[in-house]
Amino acid sequence: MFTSEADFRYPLKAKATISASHTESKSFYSRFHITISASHTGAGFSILIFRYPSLLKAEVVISPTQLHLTVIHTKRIRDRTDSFRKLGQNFGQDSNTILEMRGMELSLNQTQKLRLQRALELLESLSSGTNSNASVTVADTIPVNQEDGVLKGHGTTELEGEVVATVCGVIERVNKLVYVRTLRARYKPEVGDIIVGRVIEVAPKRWRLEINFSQDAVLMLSSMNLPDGIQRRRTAVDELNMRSIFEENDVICAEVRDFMRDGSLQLQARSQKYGKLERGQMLAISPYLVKRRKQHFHHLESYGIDLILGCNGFIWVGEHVETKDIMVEDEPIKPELQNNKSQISMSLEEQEQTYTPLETRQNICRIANAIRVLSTLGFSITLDVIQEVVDLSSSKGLDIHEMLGAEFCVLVAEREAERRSLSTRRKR
Amino acid sequence: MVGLSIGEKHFIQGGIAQDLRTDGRKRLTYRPISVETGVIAQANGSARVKMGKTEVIASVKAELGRPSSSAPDKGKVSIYIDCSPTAAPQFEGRGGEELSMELSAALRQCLLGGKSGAGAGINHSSLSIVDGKVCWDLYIDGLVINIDGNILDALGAAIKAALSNTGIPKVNVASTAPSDEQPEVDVSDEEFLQFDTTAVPVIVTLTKVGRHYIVDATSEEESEMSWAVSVSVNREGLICGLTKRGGAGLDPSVVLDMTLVVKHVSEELMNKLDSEIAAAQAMEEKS
Repeated sequence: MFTSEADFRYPLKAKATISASHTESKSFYSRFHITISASHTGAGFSILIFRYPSLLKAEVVISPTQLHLTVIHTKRIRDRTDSFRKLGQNFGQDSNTILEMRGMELSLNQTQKLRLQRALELLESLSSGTNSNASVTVADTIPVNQEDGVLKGHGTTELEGEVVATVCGVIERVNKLVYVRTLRARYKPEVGDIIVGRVIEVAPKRWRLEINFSQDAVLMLSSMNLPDGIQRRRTAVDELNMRSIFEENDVICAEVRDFMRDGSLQLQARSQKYGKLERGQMLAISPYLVKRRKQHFHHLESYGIDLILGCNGFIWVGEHVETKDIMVEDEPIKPELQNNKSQISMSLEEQEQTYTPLETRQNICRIANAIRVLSTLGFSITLDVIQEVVDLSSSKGLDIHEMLGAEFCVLVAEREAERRSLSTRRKR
Repeated sequence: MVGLSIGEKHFIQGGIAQDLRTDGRKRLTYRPISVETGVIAQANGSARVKMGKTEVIASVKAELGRPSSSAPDKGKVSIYIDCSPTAAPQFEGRGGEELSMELSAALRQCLLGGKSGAGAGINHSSLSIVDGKVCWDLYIDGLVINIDGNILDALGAAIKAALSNTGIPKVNVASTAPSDEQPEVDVSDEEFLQFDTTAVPVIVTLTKVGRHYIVDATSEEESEMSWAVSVSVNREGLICGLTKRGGAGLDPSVVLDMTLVVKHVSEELMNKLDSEIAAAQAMEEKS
């Protein structure tokens, strides 16, 4: 039924980043790589959005949440500047289209759409006050002082004597380097980042973790504390008992130690605050929403909850676990391990007794839903914002699952717009 | 679907036992459902239904055909589901076939009734044009775009919405025709008859995790299930079909207990779905 392309044509109302990358020869053709994240993507749906001449070929690559279109033109990019610019203009970000994209995920009714639009416009007007972080779209000229001998970094190219952006994003300047940082980029790791990952493989002397990066991260056995706490050389017996420390599918918190030669990450989990995370839930959001701060571990005492904001976009919300100091010798650690193992063979009644208490669970769910709402709206996730959203929901007396509804989403957007306008007014 | 650690599984089971699931829902609460009708212009009726992240599209196409000799006064309906590779990487090529067959069989059982056509949610007699010679063949197709648990319910809702959106073209039969030849049939392009969907049931799936049932499980919760029973219930509260899947066995007395729960849940779902479908139709007419 869905065989030919003409069968299904869906009006694409979502826009996103366009990046253009050149081949090495820089001459023969230019590839426009258009990534569209929308809720209406699916296999076999051809989207006829481009009406530009000399379109040679369009490849469609589908991944579960995004549709990648690679458009190949035959002429050199220099000759295609006009259509390049037109492409950039048409796919520029305006609040209307962002709204449509978000609106679709949530099926807002008419009044809610208007309110959300107003809130988003207000936020945009507030944020565009800072001019040094100018946002650019494809083929925009980057304002640069030519005499300085500027270095052109990622996302830029030299075109007819001007520095032009090839991706949609925000201009960053570091001394003489100018580059464009895309908004919805993949996680870009740095040494010292706190990340949350899931074990996918137990390999000789190491664990492989999935961390929302282009490659899997590696946690060496030697970078992990042994259960008995003694600092010693890892023997073959230790290697055989790796599963007693971490198994497949375990959620782990660790720190980036350094990069390996092929670009993948090496992690370390030597401190007591790192390690296996249980008794909670893990959420996956876009990495760009988590900014690097001083603190990524938050212990919310009033709720009794641990909140770990991983820089890679994985967030852990769970019951608070006391971090034991292994150096204190009077606490034997072995019974803990045995307890974990026997959970599987515990009967249902015993398991029920070990469940998280209801009060804590409600708080965990509220915080998790707050994070989900914030990530749908695309706001940065920090502890203050989460606290505000949770307070807003309790003050409105909303049920926890209603936090994921359309009405609350609009409320959060309005509240955030208010908050930011107040803070800018205070600054002035 | 990603695997879950033991700690996370324990958390999910605990949530279900305490009536507070990971997204804050109660055990018998559905995720927000969004319905869009008329998504496929070439089909007689179509709908796209989203339950949380689960997304399905259903379409209905009507073609002229011959009725079978055993039931000359009834039309034919066939249901077929396809799992798209966007839903999961293992559905590429023929990987999705097993699940598609299972879903198609379950839907046929729930909506089309028995072999004689008794108890069917869709009235086959309304599809007949000329007894014994011409009838409408209804092809109901479903496409699963994204899986986050509870596909059967979503498909049931999508088919119901698509049928509400279906317009069967009006047919003029040439009256002067010899009795043994095919009569001439003139299919009108302009006039359409809305399909009657008052008897079409909805499907409610109850998933057992630990000691309790939940409705509208996400794929994480489904990985913890012992078994799942899907019941299709129509507006009068009568059960039109029942399927069970999952390895664990269940006591027959549990089934009776479950049907009571299902009746209660299905009423809410039916009302919600009807209002969403009406809203979607109104939206479609506006645009």
